[in-house]
Amino acid sequence: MTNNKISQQEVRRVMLIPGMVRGIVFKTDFEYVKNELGENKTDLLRKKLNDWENPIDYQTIKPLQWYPIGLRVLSLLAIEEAFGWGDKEIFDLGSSSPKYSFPATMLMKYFISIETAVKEASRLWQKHYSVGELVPAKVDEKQKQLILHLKNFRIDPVLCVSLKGYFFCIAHYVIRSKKITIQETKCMFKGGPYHEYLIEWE
Amino acid sequence: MSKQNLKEIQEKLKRTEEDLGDLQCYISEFSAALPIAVCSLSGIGVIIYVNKAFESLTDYKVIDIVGKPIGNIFLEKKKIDNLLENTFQKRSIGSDDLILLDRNKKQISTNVSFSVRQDTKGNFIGYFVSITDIEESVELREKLEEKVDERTKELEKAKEALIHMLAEAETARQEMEEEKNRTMSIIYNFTDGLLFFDKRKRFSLINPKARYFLGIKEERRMIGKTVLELPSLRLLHKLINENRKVSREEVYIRKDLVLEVTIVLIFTEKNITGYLVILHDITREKLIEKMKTEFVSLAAHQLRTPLSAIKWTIKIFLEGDLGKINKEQKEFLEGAYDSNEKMITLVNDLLNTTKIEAGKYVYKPILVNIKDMVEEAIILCKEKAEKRNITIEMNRPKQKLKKINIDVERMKIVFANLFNNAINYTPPGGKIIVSLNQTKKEITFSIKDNGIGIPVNQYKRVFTKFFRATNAIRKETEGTGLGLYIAKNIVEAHKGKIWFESRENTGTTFYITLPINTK
Repeated sequence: MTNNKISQQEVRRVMLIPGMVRGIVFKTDFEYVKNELGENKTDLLRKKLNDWENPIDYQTIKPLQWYPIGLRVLSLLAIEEAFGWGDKEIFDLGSSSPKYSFPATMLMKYFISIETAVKEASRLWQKHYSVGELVPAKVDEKQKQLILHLKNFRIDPVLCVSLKGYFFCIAHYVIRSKKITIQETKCMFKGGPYHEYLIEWE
Repeated sequence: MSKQNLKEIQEKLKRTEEDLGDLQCYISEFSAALPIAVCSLSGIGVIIYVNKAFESLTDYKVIDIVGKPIGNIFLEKKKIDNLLENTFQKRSIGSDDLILLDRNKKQISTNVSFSVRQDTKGNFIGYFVSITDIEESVELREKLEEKVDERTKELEKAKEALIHMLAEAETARQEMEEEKNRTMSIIYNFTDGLLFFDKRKRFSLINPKARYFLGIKEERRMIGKTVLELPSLRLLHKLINENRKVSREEVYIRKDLVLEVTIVLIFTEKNITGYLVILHDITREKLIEKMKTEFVSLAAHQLRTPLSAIKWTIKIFLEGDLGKINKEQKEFLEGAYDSNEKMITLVNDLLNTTKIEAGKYVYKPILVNIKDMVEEAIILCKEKAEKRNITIEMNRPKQKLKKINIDVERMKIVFANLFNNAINYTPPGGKIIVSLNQTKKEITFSIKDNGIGIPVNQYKRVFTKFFRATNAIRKETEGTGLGLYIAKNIVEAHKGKIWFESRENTGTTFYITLPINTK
């Protein structure tokens, strides 16, 4: 959780992070906030982004267009600051993303089974992010374990939490289990060579 | 790649992105506008997308329900699994009526259709599910079913009632059948012959005994025919046409068979429903009666001669032809003479009766003046009347009476019987009035007394054999009870009529009418 206030300098730094992301991620952020807090609270978010001189017009964002990845980071950081949210809320936001995501429904062919989803994970990633590489490191249906490696993706810690939620949600699409857990076992911001997500189920 | 080419590619990409955006927008709007709840499922049946109608039907928000198995929102989870499996296997649309559990666990009747989602290469990638709220139609159907159930129950009840009624009717029918069989059994085994005719006098039934009596071998062709149409039943013509409640007649069928034929009108309330003919074999009774009559006749004949001898012997003594007798002897002889006279009367009556019954009572009518006969009868009984202090008056006819054909000796018996009865049963000081009247066709004789009269309940038996009224027996212990029987037979042999009017303790009037027939 990022409790410190984001400075203008930090904002500028973030905006300079290379890489692009699909517009849908902004849409899903906004939908989640609107549903959780009500539409009137979204003004706080707009205000925060305005304060950072990087306003985002969530309504006009086009889901399939590419936007700077830094702007996505700012969107998440602004949500944290505007509403005082921490890792849990950002995880929930991330896990709700596929639910509001039109592209996610279009990409259903990747969610037929664990095997398919793992096989197509890399392509799936590339449809959302222009940087980083998602690699399935281990798929063991007997041990009921799946390990994903996200390589070359040192963007911002807030994305680590959000993506954990996202993967958690996707796991539910392909794993038939009432109890699924996810942990980030390695993190590039904690000295890891890549991000490692361990998904387990019963 | 040249700068120009790169620019063109970028331009194409931009246009493609715009097209995709427009498509996404169109699909979102279309999906939101759909009135039917629609969702898409992953390959394992997890909800990955829901439209607005789905949210509104289930009360679930996207955030709550996406990622959950579709089975979570239905009551019948097993059916969902089957539908998923069948739809996947058959690659077709599968549907079923299922109970949806909304967010508040409220149960909603729905029709759920599953269809398979495929990618451009035809690979299975999940399911589309459409959910239609059929609560209203289910309610309507349930109401209709309730109505149908209700109606069915009513019909069941009606059916049961009908079955019950039919059972009762069947029982009643069986009872009636048994009753009928019993009745038929009685009829068929009855010792008397029985025949039934309907109200139009058409033959309907005969029992074996009647068949035997009448010599009928087969009655099937007789059914429905009238008595007149059936020669074998000719003997019934007269009786059945009398239309009396009960008609009776003795009929000689053949030498060895005498039947008493009784015809009874059968009524239901006040309507005649038919005629019952009873044929009772009285051959044996007739034979016994004949033997009895013959015996009485023989006995009477054998008695009359000695009685006559006694009569004349006593008379000789009384008239002093054999010497003078004293007063005491005379009294004894007079008593014996009276008793002998009574005995002679009885024997004569018995002989007359047996002759009548045997049909041997020969009549020799001659033309006579009945007035003379009546006056003679008065003279003959005058002494007896005077002894009892009874006066006899005669109302002589105003016109001259015509002579009529009468067997004088027989008619004398009639007058003697009537005068004797009048004198015997009239108290001393009483009066007897005799009258004669003539009309164009007949002459009526009447004899009126002011005696003891005849009890009403014995009227019917007055002219039967050996009948004596109870009050007559009390007053006069002697008397044969044959006088009126003989009188009736004699009068009727003259084609006349005899009858009476009486009131107990007031008096009796006997009437005789005789036809004026000079030939």
